[in-house]
Amino acid sequence: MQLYLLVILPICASLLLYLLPSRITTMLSGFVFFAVLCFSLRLFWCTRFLGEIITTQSSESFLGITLYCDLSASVFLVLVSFLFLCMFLFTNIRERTDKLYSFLFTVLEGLVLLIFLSRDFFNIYVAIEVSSIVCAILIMFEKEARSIYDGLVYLLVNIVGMLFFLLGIGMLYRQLGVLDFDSVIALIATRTPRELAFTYALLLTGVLLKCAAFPMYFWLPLAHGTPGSPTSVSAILSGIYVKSGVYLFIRVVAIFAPVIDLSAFLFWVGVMSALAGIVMAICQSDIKLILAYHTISQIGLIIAGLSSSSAYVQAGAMLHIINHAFFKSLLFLAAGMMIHSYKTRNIYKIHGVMRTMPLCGVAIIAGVLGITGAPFFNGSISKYFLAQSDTLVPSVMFMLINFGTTVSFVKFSKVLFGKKEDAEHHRDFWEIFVVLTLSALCLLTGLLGEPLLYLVTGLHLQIGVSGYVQKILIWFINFVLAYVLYRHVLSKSTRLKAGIDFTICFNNTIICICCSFMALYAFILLSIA
Amino acid sequence: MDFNIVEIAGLLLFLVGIFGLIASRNIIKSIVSLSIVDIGIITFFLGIRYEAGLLAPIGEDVARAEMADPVVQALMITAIVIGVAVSAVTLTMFSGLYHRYGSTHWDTVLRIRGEEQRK
Repeated sequence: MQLYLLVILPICASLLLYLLPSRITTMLSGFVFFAVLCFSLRLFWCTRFLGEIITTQSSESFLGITLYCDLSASVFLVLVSFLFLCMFLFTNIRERTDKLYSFLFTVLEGLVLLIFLSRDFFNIYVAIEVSSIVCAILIMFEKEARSIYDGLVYLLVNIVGMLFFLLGIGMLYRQLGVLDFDSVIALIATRTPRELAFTYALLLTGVLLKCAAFPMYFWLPLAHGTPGSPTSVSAILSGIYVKSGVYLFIRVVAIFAPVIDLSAFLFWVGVMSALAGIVMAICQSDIKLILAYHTISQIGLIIAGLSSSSAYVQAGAMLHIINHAFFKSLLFLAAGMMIHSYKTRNIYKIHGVMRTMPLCGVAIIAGVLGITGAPFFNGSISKYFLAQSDTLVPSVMFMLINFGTTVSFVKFSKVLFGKKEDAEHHRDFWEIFVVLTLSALCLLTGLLGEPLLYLVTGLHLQIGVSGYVQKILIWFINFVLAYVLYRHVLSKSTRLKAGIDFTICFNNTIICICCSFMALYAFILLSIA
Repeated sequence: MDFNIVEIAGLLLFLVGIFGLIASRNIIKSIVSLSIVDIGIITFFLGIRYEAGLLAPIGEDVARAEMADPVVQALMITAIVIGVAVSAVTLTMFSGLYHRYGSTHWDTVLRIRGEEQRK
């Protein structure tokens, strides 16, 4: 019952927000976001410490909509509800009292929670499809021409991906006659890999598109880096919404793993998208686009980590999902504040943030140190675990990705220094409060990384003194090399200063999706042959 | 995998729609192609376990043995509703885009957007 409440409460409240006068609704929506956070914390408590698995399923019947909450789902629930509360506090009064905005924003929370609570394929399809529509409207919220284009392409590409997923669901139902995860897991072992290959390729195409994996990432920078969307929407999309694809990835791969094992292939897909994301991020001059391309690379890193066989690396990837949600939403919020004050999005035209807006500068430093994996910050712990591989190639790849991240954030942190500029700066208490809370969390989750990992996964992993020394050394060498490379090679290039546009035409995006589907199918057939 | 005639029709419609999405440079035609893909998948679903002579699963006087699979029918009602919503939202967005850029061609729209970004 409480699981239904968790989904229905935001959706019903959003209707009230739309109908009631806005004087009442700001209080009401704040209360709703807070209540949802309390609910999900309680669920986390029950699943983690009392060992319960909460479900709405009453009988043994396989059909019907059931919601289901285990430990990993409840971790996501807490993360989603916490960040939605933060974003609600961050949004300024003008947007908060806008009826359409608060309606869509609150509905989105209910739908995202539904994705994490769903236990059958069709339910997840419905939740993702509807939330994509809501996101598309939020992206084009300011009705700027570019944002309308971005929202349209985002919606069309995602719907095409989800239609591949839906056809996969049809194939699955045709073969097994069931759709919920438990009965699919029970029945899937009775089928041969050859029978399931086509189904798996279709499902995985949809899931990898949602994760923005290598050849299918073109929608992500459009959606997350669009100029017209409100800052909090970009932060939610990049911090939390893209994780729904990762969650789906974890579930689908786990279901099919006993029959078809694709981990080696998926590892390389992750590495490719991580490297591609970094290269494109370095070529951007738009501050929001840099962050958007970095989301691609970090999601690639997470996919590569999740596809590894070692428990260490998988735990690191889980931790990195949480850490990425914190520092990426923090960086997006800080970028939004800078854009608002300096009235430009070009990274080469923003100087001296540390002098003009010191608190915002502190937040950027915390975010940058987090994402590059500096000692004592949250990225360092998860990146340390991600690099713990027995074989050489994955370790080298992780080092390379980390180096690329550092290079582009050396470029990003250039905005902090320089002479003070007279940018108009509106000091809003809640904005500062939210970014400082998130910065403190970046530091806290880094200092308390091991207990946090124990809390969310139940694994007891130790780093040890030699590990810490190794981490600090690696980060320092990385940083110096990245600084030298940026200072003496990259900053000289005028081509990079202009920014390189990587957007491609809609038709080519669809060709990319079809090609990835065929490649996936071919690899699955090869791996079972 | 041996498909029956309804499923084959659904898969063919799916391919037709995908071809439209790849080949057509017109935004409205892309949206129509998306609807065709959607309808193809709905047809495919309705063909699952279909045999000639089965009755619709409505009413109480239909024996269970001669009833078509009710699950896919229930699922597809939801899928149809979502498909309509997607068409409505995308067409609305397109009309907004057309008012600003004045073109229905993907390449032209992308070019104008790129010029706007460089400013």
